[in-house]
Amino acid sequence: MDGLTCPHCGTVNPEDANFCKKCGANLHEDDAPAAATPDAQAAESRTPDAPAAGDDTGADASPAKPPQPFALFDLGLTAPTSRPRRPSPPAEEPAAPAPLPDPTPTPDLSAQLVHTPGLLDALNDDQLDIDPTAPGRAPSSPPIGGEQALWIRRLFSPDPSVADELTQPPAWPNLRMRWIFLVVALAVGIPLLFSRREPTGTIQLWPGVQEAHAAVAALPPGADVIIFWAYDQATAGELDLVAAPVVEHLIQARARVTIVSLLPTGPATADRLVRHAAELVAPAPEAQAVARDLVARNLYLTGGATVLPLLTGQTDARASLLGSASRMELAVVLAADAADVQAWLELVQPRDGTPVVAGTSAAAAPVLQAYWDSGQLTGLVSGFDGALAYRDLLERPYKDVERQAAARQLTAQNWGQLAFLGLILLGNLLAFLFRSEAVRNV
Amino acid sequence: MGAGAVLLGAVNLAAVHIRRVQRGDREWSHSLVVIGVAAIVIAAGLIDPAGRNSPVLAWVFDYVLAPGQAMLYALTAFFLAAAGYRFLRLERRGGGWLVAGAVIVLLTQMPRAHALWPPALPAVTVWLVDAPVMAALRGALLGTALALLISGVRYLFGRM
Repeated sequence: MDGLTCPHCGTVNPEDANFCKKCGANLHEDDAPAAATPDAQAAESRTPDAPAAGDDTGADASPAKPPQPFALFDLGLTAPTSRPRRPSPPAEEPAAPAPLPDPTPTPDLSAQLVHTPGLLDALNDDQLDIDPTAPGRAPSSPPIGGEQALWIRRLFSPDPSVADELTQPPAWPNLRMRWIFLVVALAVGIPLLFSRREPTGTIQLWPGVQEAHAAVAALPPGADVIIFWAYDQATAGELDLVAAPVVEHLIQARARVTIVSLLPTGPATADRLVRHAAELVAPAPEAQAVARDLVARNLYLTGGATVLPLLTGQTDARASLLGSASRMELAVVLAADAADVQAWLELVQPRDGTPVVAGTSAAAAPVLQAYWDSGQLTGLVSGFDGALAYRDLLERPYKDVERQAAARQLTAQNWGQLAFLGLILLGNLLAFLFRSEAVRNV
Repeated sequence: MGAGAVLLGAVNLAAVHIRRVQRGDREWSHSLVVIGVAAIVIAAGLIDPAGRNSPVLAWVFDYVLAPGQAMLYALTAFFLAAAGYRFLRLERRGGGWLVAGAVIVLLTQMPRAHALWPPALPAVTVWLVDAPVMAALRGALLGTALALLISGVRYLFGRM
């Protein structure tokens, strides 16, 4: 079969390939000078007219000199890479002077094994210089197959994630995925089903929440506010919690909101949340009118982030998109991903200077913290903590349904994170105990 | 243009799945479900005077789409827990930093634990995120950008 055989996984690749199409290994790694068998490279680099590189005396130039034994496995072999495995492409640069072989064993044994093609090939009698007909000679073992070779290479791989499965001792307690999944499901599910009516624990007031509340509270009645709705139902479990108090506060401030979303299901997600927030502040018959008074437009904009610069300035493009070219008093970005907030801060905020309040997931908060510190964000509300802290700042007292929901969320978060911590510690403890046992057994 | 692209996508989706049903390809029944649901949603939006606010659309969104998307996203918690068990190890190179960071962040985000820890711990977390973590993040981003730039230049000059 034509092509280059990957020294790592055995896949046949095109002749002109540099890297394996399956595992990404360098197909020319054994062409590099002194990659693993310096003695072989040194021998190949010598010419009849020139002494060995680095050999000042020329004493080693004698062709009768026996090959240096391989530092790791001294089996009296000739260097395996002296056998041509495949045609090598012409070298673009002159070969570097080969270093002298290091007689001391190299500590990184796995690297030598992995990067030395041929070491894992079947050993032939002619390589071992053994007479196969000698008395007492056992019959030759079958050559190592591709799967076995791959297994051995993984076994000695310096990458722990590759070698982990194979290098674990047999006594390792194999906590299968299903048990881990069960622990997480129970840790979250039981508190959701049997949580108390009152929230347990306290809320951490992170920087940015009070400032976000103050920015909304300072809006004059009828102020134009734009909400960049950058989340959908996939992340609504967390983001609805963040968005609800902010939207409720906008209702209280009697703002006029234009919602824009780059997600197809963004407007429907916004509709749903606004209805919910309106029902919290007004009786059911009036909630629809409250929601209608709040939302002037709810738009899905196609074109991705490229459309965002069109939302700035008093331009015709902006007027045609938003129905109005008037300046916004405040921009609220509700996003699960920090990149959406960054897109707004980079593409819109510098052009129109509107203060920005961000409501994000807890995962996005670390990245956005720097924008808060630099003053590019006027307020930052993130995660369960931020949402509940913002809710506490609203003047309206909690309803029973809200209190129960908050209790469920906080309790599930407590136990879920405790389970996460426990699994991390358990993994480390078992790794320590069973590795120690394996060392003692050696 | 964007609206045209969405329309084109819808027509293409319908054409592909109708063809699959006609040919009886593997999993053709899934294609039939896609066509059926798309037809119901489009019809509900077009026929109902409420348009996008049609009760049928709201029902599909609230009770089909929303739980489905949320369920898929919630699965990440399980895989994160499994990954934490298997790979957040002290014995790995740099593992101590990863484990310490995960433990501190989890503890400070845990509402029940706030009362157990000194008030300075959240401030430490904020500092960690603001200073060393952000420095490493920006270093990685700048390094990646420079590597991309150099790779692009090498590619343009045929030096790959």
